[in-house]
Order: sequence, then structure tokens, then C-alpha cells
Amino acid sequence: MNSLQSRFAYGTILLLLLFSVALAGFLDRMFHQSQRQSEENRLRGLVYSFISSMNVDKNGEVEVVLPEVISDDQDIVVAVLDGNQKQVWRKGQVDIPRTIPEIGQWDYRHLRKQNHASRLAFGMEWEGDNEKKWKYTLVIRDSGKIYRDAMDAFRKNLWTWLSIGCLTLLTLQLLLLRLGFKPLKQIADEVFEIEQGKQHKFEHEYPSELSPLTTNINSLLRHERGRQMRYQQSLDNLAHALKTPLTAMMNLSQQKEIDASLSKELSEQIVRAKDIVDYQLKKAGTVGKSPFAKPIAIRGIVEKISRSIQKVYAHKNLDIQMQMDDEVTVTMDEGDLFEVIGNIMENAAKYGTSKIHVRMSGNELTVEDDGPGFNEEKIQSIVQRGVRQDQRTEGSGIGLSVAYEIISVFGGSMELAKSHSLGGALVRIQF
Amino acid sequence: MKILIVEDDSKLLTQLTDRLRSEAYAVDQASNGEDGLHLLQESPIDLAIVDLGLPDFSGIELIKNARKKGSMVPVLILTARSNWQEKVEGLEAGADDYMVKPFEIEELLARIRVLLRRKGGWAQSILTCGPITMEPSTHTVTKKGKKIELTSYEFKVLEYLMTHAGEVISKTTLSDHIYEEDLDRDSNVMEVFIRRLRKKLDEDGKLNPIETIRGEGYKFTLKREG
Repeated sequence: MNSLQSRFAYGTILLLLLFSVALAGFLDRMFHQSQRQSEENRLRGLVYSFISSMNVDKNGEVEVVLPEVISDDQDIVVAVLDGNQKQVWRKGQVDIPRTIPEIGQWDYRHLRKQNHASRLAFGMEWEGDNEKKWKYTLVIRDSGKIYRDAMDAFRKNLWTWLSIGCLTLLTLQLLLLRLGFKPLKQIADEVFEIEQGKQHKFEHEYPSELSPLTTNINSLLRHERGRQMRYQQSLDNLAHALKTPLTAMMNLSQQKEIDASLSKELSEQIVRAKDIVDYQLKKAGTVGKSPFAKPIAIRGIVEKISRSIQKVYAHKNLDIQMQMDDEVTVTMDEGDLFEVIGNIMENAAKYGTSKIHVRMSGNELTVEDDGPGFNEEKIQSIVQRGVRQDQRTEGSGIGLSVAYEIISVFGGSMELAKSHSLGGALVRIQF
Repeated sequence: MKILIVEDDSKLLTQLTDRLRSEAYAVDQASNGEDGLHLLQESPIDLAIVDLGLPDFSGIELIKNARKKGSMVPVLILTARSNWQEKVEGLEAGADDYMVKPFEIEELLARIRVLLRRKGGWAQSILTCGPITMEPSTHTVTKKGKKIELTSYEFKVLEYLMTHAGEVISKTTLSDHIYEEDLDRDSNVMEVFIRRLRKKLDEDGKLNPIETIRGEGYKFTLKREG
């Protein structure tokens, strides 16, 4: 359960269920007490009716003309006990209470275990015409059907409305949660877009609680982008500032007035300086694994570089064959990708005769040529800085070293081998 | 052949100009993009060397603008930034080749010759028309294997005519591609060059390599090979 919204949702459901159960229990208890009171009051009314219809003769014999309200009600049973708790009159079967109320006292019992029946006992003293007094206990019992019917109806209503209420509250709560978490989800979506390189900053308006965060991140991104641009610009300016005078020096070194051996030495040192500058600047300019790199379609880059190489090496009439799907992408800085593929393909064009095969399978890029191939003993040294395969061929000699360096910084791997299909060099890169 | 150099570094500009002139090329110079674009559009340039790091606008913009306005002049870019993205951008913008600074001038000259040859539709580095052979890299002209001594201007005229063998070249066009922008031109001098060339190339008068087309110009009549 990693989602905050899910956590809140499950928490809300649990709380709502607990609250509903507690509320239902409380209301059930309250209604039960109310029903008990109501039942006691009803039984008292029946007791008064019964007493009003009761008569005791001079021998203490009880005579009753039952009122309709009792006689018609099958659920009501009545018993009259004398002072010795002996039944002297009854309607139906009544269990004798264990405790007999004093004269003038009431004793009401809700008999939960007896199907919620109710029993009311009343202690009374009857004074006959001869001023003789008889003590009686009137016991009246209801079967509990009224109570049960009322409770059943109440509970049915209670749970129906409670369920409706819960569902409504839950729906509203989930909607509120969704509404409340919408800005967070939007932030996550925008961060993903920024990571994919599809946008450069947070573009939506956010609530006051979140806007300081997005504004600050935007400032950071702007600052970082600006810093990177200034850095690249500085590297470019440095390259221009260093290499233009180096070109002038190289031309000067080749003038006729300068001694041939000195000229050769000077040229070598200038080329060395140029190699170091090139290598270090390219190394410094490598972006490597950037969290903001966007997926780049590799075919587009290979096609552009192929066109460029075919133009520059037009005299070789290059036959470049590509084998890769349009949608294959590599999440890498575009400049780095250009540098890696450009250097490797140019190497193939420079040393190959006329055929270059570029193949992308999964995350593996292979470039093969029909040139002399790598010298087995020197394969390792080629991926070291500035080692050239063929001093006679123009080139900085750092192309493969730069590609190797970039791929290493990116976290991939580069392997040099012999091409079995074309017979020349094979460079295999795992992105 | 006239070459335009657009380079903001005055030292390098002078060095390149001197060397190209010593190789019998006419050179026009520009130290910024605006002047370079103007010359590329207005002057009869055969090849342009453009530095990408210009002070007013980038060399890539210059090439894009020139191509947009219909210029088909071969362009070789010079760049200090050896990154591939920029090279590809320059070549896609319309450049034909690039050189990363610092470079050896001999390599630059070789690239220039390749581009000029390619522009003229020549596949080989040695131009051969009938019995006459020209090797631009060594400034050597031979007839049936026998070397012919030519002055720098005679070589320039012959190179242009041979590169465009079979085409009628007006005297003005020939002058435009031989002389630099700010040089005074005397039309009679061109006639003198042609006369001298005819004499050196066709001593016995049987070959007639350069034909005068009345009212139009000159045509190198020998069939090109390669």
C-alpha cells in the first residue's frame, strides 16, 4: 500500500465502519431502553385496568371481570397471588417471581432470555367491607411480541439508513480525497514528464501549500539548466580560444623557413596538445546518466550521422546498412549519444573500405566495417586516451576513447572485436 | 578558382589566405558572418571555408541562409568544437565537409581540391583531357607525359577551363574566378593568358585545346576522361 491516497481511503473506510457499528450499538441500546420503559408503562396501565375490574368477597375470594384489553390479548397473562404467594386467580400460565414486591411497590423485569418477555408485579392490599384486609400480588406478563416487532423494525430501518449514510459519506470522502490529492498526482505526473524530458518545469498552478515546493523546484531546474548551458558554453569558448591559436601555431610550424626536424617536433607537440584538449573537453562535457534525459530514437541519430559521413567520405562511396526499428530508444543525453555513435561510425568510415553495418537489438548497438579490423594486441590500448590506430590517417585518434569514456560514465559497456560478417572491426555497445 | 574564407581570427585568416594564394587560388576574405554571407551571394565563389564560431552569427546560420537563397557553392566548415551534434548540424545545414581545429594546412588543401573536383564532376584527383593532364595538388601540367611550365595565372586559367571542360566560359566569368574581389582587371590580360596557354599546350597548332566562341567566351574542347 504505497499510495497515500489508498492509505487515506482504507483508513477512512475503517473509521467509518467502526463509527457506524458504534453508532448502531448506541442507538440500539437507547431504543431498547425506550421500549422497556414503554412496555412497563403499558403493563402498569393494564394493572390499573385489572384492579378496576377486580373484586374480593368477604372470604377473600378474588373475582374478576376481565377488561377487553386484557381478555382479547392472547399475549397477556395475569395471575393474582395471595399473601402466601399462592395463585388465587389467573389468566394463562404465569411464572411466580422470586421476589415479591412490598405493598404499593412495582417490580418490572425485562426477561431477555425468555424471548424478551416483560413481567410486572405489583404489591397491593385489599380492604374488604368488614374492614378486613387482604394482601395480594398482581403479576402481569407480556410475551414480548410488541417489543420484538418494534426492535426488528427499528433495526431494519437503522441498518438501511446507516448503510445509505455510510455509502454516501464514503463516496463523498473518496471524492474529497481525490480532489485533495489531485495536486499531488499532478506533481507526480509533471515530475515524470520532466524526467522524460518532455517539459522543462512545473507548468500548472498549485494550491498555496504546494506552490512554494513547485516554485523552488522550478528555480532549481532553471538554475541547473542555466548552469549546464553556461558550462557547455564555457567549454565551447575554451575549445575555440585554445584551438584557433593552435591551428595558427601548426601553420607557422610548417613554414619553409623553419627547420624540418623542428617543424616535425612542433607539429607533434601541437597535435598532442590538441588531443589532450579534445579529450579533456569532451570528458568534461559528458553529461552521463542524467535523471532528466529523454528517450531518444536511435534510428534518427544513426540516419543523420550516416548522411553526414556519406557526405564527408563521398570518395569511398559508402554502403551503410541499418537494421533497427524506428521506435527503439535510448534514454541518454542527445549530445552524448551523437558523440558515441558519431565517433564509432566515423571510425568505421575512416578505416573501412566501403561497407558499414549498424544494428540495434534490444539495448545493444553493433557497428561493423570491412576494414582491416582491430589489432588484437591493441584492442585494450585503443580504449585508452589518444591512442591512434593509424597515424597516417587524419583524425584525432581519440574517437573510440571518447565513446568508451561516455559509455562508461553512462553505466554501459563497449566491446571491440572482429566482424565475422564483414571481416573488419566490430564495436558492440550495451546501453 | 576563387575561395572565400570566413574566419574571425585575423592571424589564422592571414595564414590561410597566404597559403591558398601561394597555391594559385584567388581568395576573398570575411571576418564576420554578415560580410561572408554577402560575398557568398554576390561574388563568384567556387568554394567557401566557414568558421562556425563567428562573432555576429554562427557559421551554421550563414550556410543555412546561403542555401536558402540558392547558393550551391561547396562549403567546408572549420570548427573548434569537435562534437558530433554540431558537425551533423553543419553538414545537414548544407556544408559539404568539416575540419576540426587545429588542422594541418596540407589536409585542408587536399579537402579543398576534393570538393572542387567533386563540384566539377571529376572523380579522379588528376584531371585528364585528351593528351593533357593536370595534377592540381602539385600544380603539374603535362602533355603526353611531357611537363609544361606555366605561370601561376596561366595555371589558374587552365585549371578553371579544364574543370569546366566542354562548357563555354565568358571572359568575365573567367576573370571573376581568377582575380580577387578588389583587384583591377584588364580584359586584355586574359587574352594574353589564353594566347600563351594555346602556345604552350599546342605548339604545332593541331590540337586547338581552347576554342574562342565569338561574342561568348572560351571553351576547352578536349574531351575529359574520368
